[in-house]
Amino acid sequence: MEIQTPISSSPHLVKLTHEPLDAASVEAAVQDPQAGAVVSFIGITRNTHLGKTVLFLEYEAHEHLALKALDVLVSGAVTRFGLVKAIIHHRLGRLAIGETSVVICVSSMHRAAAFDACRYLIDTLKVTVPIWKKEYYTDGTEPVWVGPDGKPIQMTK
Amino acid sequence: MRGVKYKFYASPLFLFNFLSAPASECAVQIQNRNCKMPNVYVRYHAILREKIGCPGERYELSPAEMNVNGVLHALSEKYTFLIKPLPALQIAVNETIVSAGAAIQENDTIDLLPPFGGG
Repeated sequence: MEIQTPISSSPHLVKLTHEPLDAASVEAAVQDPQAGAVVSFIGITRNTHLGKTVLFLEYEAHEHLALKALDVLVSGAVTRFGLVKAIIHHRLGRLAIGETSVVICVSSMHRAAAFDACRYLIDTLKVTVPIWKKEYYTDGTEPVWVGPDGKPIQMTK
Repeated sequence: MRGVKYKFYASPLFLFNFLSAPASECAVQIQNRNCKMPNVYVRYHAILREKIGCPGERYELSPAEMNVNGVLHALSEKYTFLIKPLPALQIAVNETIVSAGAAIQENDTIDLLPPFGGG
């Protein structure tokens, strides 16, 4: 199941999907004769966090808002860093350890802009895009919703 | 009366009501149905949905409360555990993120978004 925004000015550049992500195809899609550099960030689910062994993770989104926010993020980064192309694909649903949760690929004329933009995109995504992550642990302790800083979200007194 | 009420909550029927309630509504609604006040639909996401125990519910507000702050106030009265984390939430009205002073209208859909954690 793929969710794409009809309101997006560049619908092929951002995607939320419950299917496994294909980083190689995203990387190929940002290549361009004008671009001398391609930088990719691939986020992968890790087996340890907060001193515990992670069993699996669940991602969910407010899909409409998340696609809007991703679209704003990508088009803003293209302008800000003078990129040739930028694409973000984010996975949703239940992910096993070692699966790809996010793919961010950018291309630019020279390498500096591509490195800077890629870092900016993942850092900003974590705070501006309504996607939520819940970690389940092997020791059977309470699953934790993880915030943008990697710490558990507190929602009680 | 008290005994009757207790019996209602303790009966297996109550559990059945809860399980069969429409997915979009909480089992328990506290709104005053006697007076005609504008109402809005509030949706809870992620950790908020889990802590409150349902995906969303209707709130009736007085005309003076028809802004995002009014919704947050009603919410913190109903769920006192939210008073502290409330400022960390982002609010969307009809699928657009807004500031706390933003006005709302009858039948608007309001999303309460806890801190994000993508990537």
